[in-house]
Amino acid sequence: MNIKITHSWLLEYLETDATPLEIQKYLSLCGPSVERIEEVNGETVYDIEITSNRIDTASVLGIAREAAAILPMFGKKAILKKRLLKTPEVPSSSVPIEIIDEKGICRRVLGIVMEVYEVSSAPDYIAKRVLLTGTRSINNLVDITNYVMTEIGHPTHVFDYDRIATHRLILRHAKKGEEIITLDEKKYTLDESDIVIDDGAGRVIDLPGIMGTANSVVTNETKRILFFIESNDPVSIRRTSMRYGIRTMASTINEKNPDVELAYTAFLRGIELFTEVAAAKPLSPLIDIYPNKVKTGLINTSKSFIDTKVGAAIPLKTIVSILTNLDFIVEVTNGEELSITVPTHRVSDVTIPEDIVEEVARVYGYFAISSVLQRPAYVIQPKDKENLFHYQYEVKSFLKHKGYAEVMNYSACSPMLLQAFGQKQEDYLHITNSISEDIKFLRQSLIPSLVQNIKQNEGFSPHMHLFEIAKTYIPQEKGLPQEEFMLSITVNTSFDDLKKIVTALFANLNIATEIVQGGANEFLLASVQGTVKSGNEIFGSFGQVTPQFCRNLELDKSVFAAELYFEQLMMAARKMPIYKAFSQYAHITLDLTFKKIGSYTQIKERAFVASEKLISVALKDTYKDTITLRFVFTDPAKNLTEQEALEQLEKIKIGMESVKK
Amino acid sequence: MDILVLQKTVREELAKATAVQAVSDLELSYLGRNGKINELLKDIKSLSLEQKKTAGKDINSFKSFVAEEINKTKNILYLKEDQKISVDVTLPSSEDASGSLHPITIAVNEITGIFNKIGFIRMSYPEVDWEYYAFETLNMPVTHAARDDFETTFLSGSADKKMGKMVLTPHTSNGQVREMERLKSTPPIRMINIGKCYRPNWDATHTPMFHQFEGLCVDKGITIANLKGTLDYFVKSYFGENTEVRLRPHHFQFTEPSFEVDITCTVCKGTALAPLATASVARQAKCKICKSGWLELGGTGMVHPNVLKAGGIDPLVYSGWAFGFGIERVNMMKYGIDDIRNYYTGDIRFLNLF
Repeated sequence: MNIKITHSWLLEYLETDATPLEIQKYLSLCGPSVERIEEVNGETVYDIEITSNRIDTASVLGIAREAAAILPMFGKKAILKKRLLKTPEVPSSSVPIEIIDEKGICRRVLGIVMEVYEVSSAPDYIAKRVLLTGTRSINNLVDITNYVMTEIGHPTHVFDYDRIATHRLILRHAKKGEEIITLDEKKYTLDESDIVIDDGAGRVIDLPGIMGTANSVVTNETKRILFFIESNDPVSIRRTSMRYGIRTMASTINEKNPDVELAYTAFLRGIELFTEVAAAKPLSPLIDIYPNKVKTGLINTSKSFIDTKVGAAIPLKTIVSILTNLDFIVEVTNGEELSITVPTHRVSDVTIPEDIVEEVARVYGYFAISSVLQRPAYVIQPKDKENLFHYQYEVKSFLKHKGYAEVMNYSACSPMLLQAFGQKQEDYLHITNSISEDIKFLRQSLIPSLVQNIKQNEGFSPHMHLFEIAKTYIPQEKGLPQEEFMLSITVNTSFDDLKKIVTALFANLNIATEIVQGGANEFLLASVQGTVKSGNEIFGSFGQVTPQFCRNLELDKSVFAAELYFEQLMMAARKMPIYKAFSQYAHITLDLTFKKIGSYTQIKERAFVASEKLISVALKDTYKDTITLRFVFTDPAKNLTEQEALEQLEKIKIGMESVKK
Repeated sequence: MDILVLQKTVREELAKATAVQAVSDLELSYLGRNGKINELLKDIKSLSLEQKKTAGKDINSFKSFVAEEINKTKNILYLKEDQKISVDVTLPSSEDASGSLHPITIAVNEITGIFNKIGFIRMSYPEVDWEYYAFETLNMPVTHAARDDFETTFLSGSADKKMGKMVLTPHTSNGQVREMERLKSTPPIRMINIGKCYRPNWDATHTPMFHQFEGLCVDKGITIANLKGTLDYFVKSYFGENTEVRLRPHHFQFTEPSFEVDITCTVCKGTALAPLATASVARQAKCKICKSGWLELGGTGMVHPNVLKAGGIDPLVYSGWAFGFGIERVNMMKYGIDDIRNYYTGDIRFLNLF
């Protein structure tokens, strides 16, 4: 969260010679980050980021306290000016008022009834500051509550005493389905975990700590007020405010556990302002229900502990003065042992010695700590991880140099895409709180997204060669899904282009593979699909994407795709091929044309079975039902004669003919 | 036979030749198997021994002369022909296939290399994980308000009694305790974990999926000074030698103390001033990128004792630091790739830029 405070307001709590720019710079380095300084109507306004653990700094008082600790480290004068607040004189007889918190829902409840002289617009200085800090100016009564919140840091509330006819306020949990109308005239149906204030006649008159209700807030006719502060349960405040989306400044502060002691400061300051501004007079005593007083904290640590964590020797005197300026009470024993009392406004944040390290180091200045690389240590990277990253980059680079563009798609896809590819939603893990239907179902294949990429790019590039390496998420019977890296390649040019890149990829990784007709990929046509394997190991499939799926995406052109199990690829890959010395003896190349029976792979197998001198086969041509192959023969021990080679070719010919019979 | 006459004839014939081919033809007619030199040699058979000697000498010297002249002429003609060769080298070549690596891949490779050099191993941890690793082990119990800061993406997979709900990891920090567990709670730990992260934000500056790189260092005596040293090393390696780094106080549940890291602006070099357009500009404008001379890099801190405990490591013996930075962000800061919405749309016009 961010708060805005003005420089002149800050000076009411801080005596300093630092300029706004110096305050911005030094506070940002050592404490709250002052993100901006704006000049508005002659006022300097600080816009300050407040981290969730430092709600004690979300006020003029809080920032002044930080400044008083930080600025002196930069040679600037800075003294915190604490305001002396008087307890008001109260009448001997009170108007009827009863506040009941039987179940101890709140840690503290404060209230006082006051008679106000008039409801009018707030005096200029209040209205102006309320506006500059980002709130609307309503009237003197409401403005005071907001003014006190920004100045002291604890939310406050004001009721119209006469609109609570019973003069009773009972804190209780809401009933399921109970309805309220907040002061901004919005209706909410409550839940049992919400906390409300009941007027004793079953009427809800407040959503405490978050927002008042329309039926009890002050109006222009208000004559008597109930000034009210409660320290609510932060968790419950957060849940209720999140559930209904009521994000007021009050709820934002209350959910971060502001100091219970601070509530009393805010109470006295509020009473003071009502008296000054609205000529208010107390009609009741100060009601303060506070069964368990908040305790200060105690942390034992040492100078050497701080030094070891920081990596610098900070003088003991500096440590003590930093902590003292931040309202900690420090007792030093044995020359370096520190017994530190944590003030109530820091008890929820500062609980362990490491928290003390932070307080000391940040004010000492992180910039003052030197930069020293830790001593080296050797940690073994698991081989599978080393290979995974090595080959990912290797394969990506290879494909890039072959003219392929790397795509990264979202890990989840739309129900429409699943449907286009004939998938059932229930087979997929899905995001239950997805912000967009486009990214709902966790992918189990990269092909649908890549085909979609081709569709989306249709207008920009006629020929597309794309690839992606990403995880797929396969749901398991129990536990987390199986995350598996897939490599998918798509082209919209030709089957030959696809096969060429798949073949080249395996060759580049030095994996000897065979390709068999058919495969198990459900996105590819059964009749135009091949499986890449090596022995029993299956690396994946490639082929033509089922035209019906493409048509579902309004893609008329054929798309060809390969999907390979990347981790299998990586495990089979070799950095160097298996070494086999080249033959010293003559190679004889002979061609043969014959009738094509069976697949090319089968024919090749037959040829190798038939001839022991055959070392390679290449396709030369096909014509009608014939095929022309080019065979290379050699002998590992001597020069083969042409005659001998012809004999080998004859063996192959016989081998091929035997299939016909 | 008169050698001088013959020589003159050769010279005249060669002088007429304007192309290398014509000279080659002459070469054949003199020096070929049925050439004039061999004719002359045949003719001397009928001469007396004494005459043979003289004639043989003459013919040989004539042969050398012819060979030399032909060679000379050829060289001259070759040179002339070479001088005629001319190509407009500014004409475009025929197109070669040009592919591309995704900008994330390029950055991941660079970052991994930088951390490798100081002994950090790259790891990879689940992108779908339990709330336990995404929050509980990171000092964020169920009721903690900080969990709302990570508006989490929940999955339909059934929850686990101990581990909580299944989520898409909102940060790479789920790898912290997983790495401690992998190493059987025994430091040293030097990890760089790079992965996809997910948060339900989708606007001009956020995509619901993004990448983070997470550094984790746990050992005996690890200090804030060590964290600063490492950040300084990384920032100088990645952004350039003149880049400065600073820490500002911040708050994260899983680190104590926590910091935000800034680096000197890569555009204005930390001066906070826009480049001077003209010398006459009286007051120099502020740098549009950083406004203050500094750019926010990301969050970091000293590993919270509760995180070490969750990983079975004794915080009294060991300490550590951790950081998590966005890769899209460092790409923006270093290379000016400012519209991150293009990263994950597969738009070929974007991909072709890399």
